Amino acid sequence: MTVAIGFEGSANKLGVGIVRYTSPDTWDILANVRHTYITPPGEGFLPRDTAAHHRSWAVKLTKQALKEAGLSVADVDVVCYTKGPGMGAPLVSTAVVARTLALLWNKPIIAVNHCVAHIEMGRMITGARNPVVLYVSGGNTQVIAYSHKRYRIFGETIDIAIGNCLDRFARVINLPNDPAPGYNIEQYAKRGTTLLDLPYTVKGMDVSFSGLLTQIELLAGSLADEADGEAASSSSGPPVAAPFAGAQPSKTPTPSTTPATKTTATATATPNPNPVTKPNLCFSLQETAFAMLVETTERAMAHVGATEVLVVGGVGCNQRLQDMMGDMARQRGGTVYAADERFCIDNGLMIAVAGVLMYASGHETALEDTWCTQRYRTDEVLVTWRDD
Amino acid sequence: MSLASHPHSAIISQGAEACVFRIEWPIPLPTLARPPTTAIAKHRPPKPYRHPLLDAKITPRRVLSEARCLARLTRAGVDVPRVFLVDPEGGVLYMEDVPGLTVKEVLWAWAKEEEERGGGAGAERSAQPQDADSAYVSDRAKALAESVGLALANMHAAEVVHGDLTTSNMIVRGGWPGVDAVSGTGAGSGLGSKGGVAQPSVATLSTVTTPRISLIDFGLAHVSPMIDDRAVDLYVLKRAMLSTHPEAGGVFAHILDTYACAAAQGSQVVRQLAEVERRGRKRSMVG
Repeated sequence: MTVAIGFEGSANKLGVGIVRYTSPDTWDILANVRHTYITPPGEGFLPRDTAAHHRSWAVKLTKQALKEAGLSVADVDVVCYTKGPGMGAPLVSTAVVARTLALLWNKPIIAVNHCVAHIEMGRMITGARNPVVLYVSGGNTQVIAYSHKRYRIFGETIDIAIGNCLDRFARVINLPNDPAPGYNIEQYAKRGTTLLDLPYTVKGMDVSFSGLLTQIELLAGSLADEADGEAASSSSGPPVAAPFAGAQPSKTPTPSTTPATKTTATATATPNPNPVTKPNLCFSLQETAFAMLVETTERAMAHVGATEVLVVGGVGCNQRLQDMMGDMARQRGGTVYAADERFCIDNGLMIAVAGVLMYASGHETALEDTWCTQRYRTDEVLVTWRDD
Repeated sequence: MSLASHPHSAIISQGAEACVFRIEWPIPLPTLARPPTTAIAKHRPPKPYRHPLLDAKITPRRVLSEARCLARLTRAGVDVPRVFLVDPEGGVLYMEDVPGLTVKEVLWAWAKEEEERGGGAGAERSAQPQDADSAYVSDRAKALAESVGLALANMHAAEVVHGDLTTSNMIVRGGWPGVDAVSGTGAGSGLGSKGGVAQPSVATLSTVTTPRISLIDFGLAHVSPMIDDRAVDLYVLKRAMLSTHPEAGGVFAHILDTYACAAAQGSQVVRQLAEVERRGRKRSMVG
């Protein structure tokens, strides 16, 4: 039995998790606490501010995790932290916390690859044995399959990550970052009805999202003057709908609001609503981008002859993505495994899970090697804890 | 009626994107030397997870792109299946049923033959499967490798990049003397058992002459004059051969030698291949 504490801070979440490991099939989740650095709508998170957030929350979250687990420091066997990939400054802050505690408590320390941690956590939670993994988050988009002691990357984004694409689009249309930009896009998309034409870019096993983002940003430009794009959509929207409903579709550029133009605008808006609304944009973005991801995942499954597929990473808790993956898997006679936001979104538990597996197979990171790196590919890690 | 349930069609393979059928072909095509009796139908079915409008946009685009690549290569004198009929909206491409065996089948048959013959030499060789450069290569394997290298050089000269080069995507036209079709796999599998379409007769070569290689499956192909794209093509083939034919390590080296001599900018492409191998095809990962 080994108790591991994990520290994750590669992006805007600081997470501390504690796990008790008995065997690959016997785990106890003792704690998994997290605090997210949330910026105002329209703004992303900057490395320096994010690192400051992590520093100010580290002690609080560690105490809370130990309390939840009902453990004292003496019960912890090993300290694990994210080595990379991620944003430099937040990674460094978190590594300093882990290193300090390991020295203070006199515990061994393990440096963990963030992507491998997502995969191992997904396998532990869902019980998937040897799945093709779709890893989708703010910084990463990869289709991964295990072979000969490595998690091999079969396909990936050749430019920006899917989560980055969603986050940036949420900023453009001013959606809140609370609880997460992707979550808010998902809610808007549920009310979308019309598919707008967006670039669909699959290159063999790889995908590309930058052209898609450019195009949808251009489309969103014609939203600018509209009342939150809600004019055309019906009832259940956020409370913005009514008063501005007559505002002008941007195609007739008139800067001043005279009574005359107001009448024209209301007249055109009612019979022929502009399909470019926030719900339709979010809907089209999800339908197009997720179809690209499911297609490449299916190709990897066919290639390696897998029947299981596991979706991990922050974007992985999107219900529409999980449903589309389910449609694909069902047609192939396969199964989809996915987890909810507690385990999909970056968290400390996943670092503890991967770290304890490494520890159990004989790893230990020497203190002078406890650095971190922004670039750390999934396939660089030798998977010593799997025998298949 | 769908291709899958049609009495005069038999499924050959089912990939992630397309189902490939062998069907009876009733229409004479005067431009072909021998009138075809069968054809290959490659169908890209709609995807249940994809919005129908997206499907309607993507599928015709891909069918047409594959047909255009094939037509471009045929015009350039490269041996690929002739396009018979294109149905973009239906998502089906009908093309020549190239008679023969895949390079994979030929190499596997040879490996089996040498294994049966036994002997210390064979065992020794297979003990070091990764040693690509020093491996022993028989004369017939050299002849095969040269043909493959030439075919790839010609394809790249037409500025087409294949995108998915494997030994199953190369057919030795007419097969190889002494090598039989392995039932159930690749292009050589017959339909007899299903009572459907008979395969075209295979003219057997009498001696080890230069085999003719026909390249197939241009589903991931695109037109590109870039050296780097060509190098990636070769890299994909090398990786595929290492995993499919670990015992035939020297064959790829011979393919590469022929390619370097025959292809336009061949030596540049081979130099670039070293660069591609170094970076592992992929970008370094950030965040």
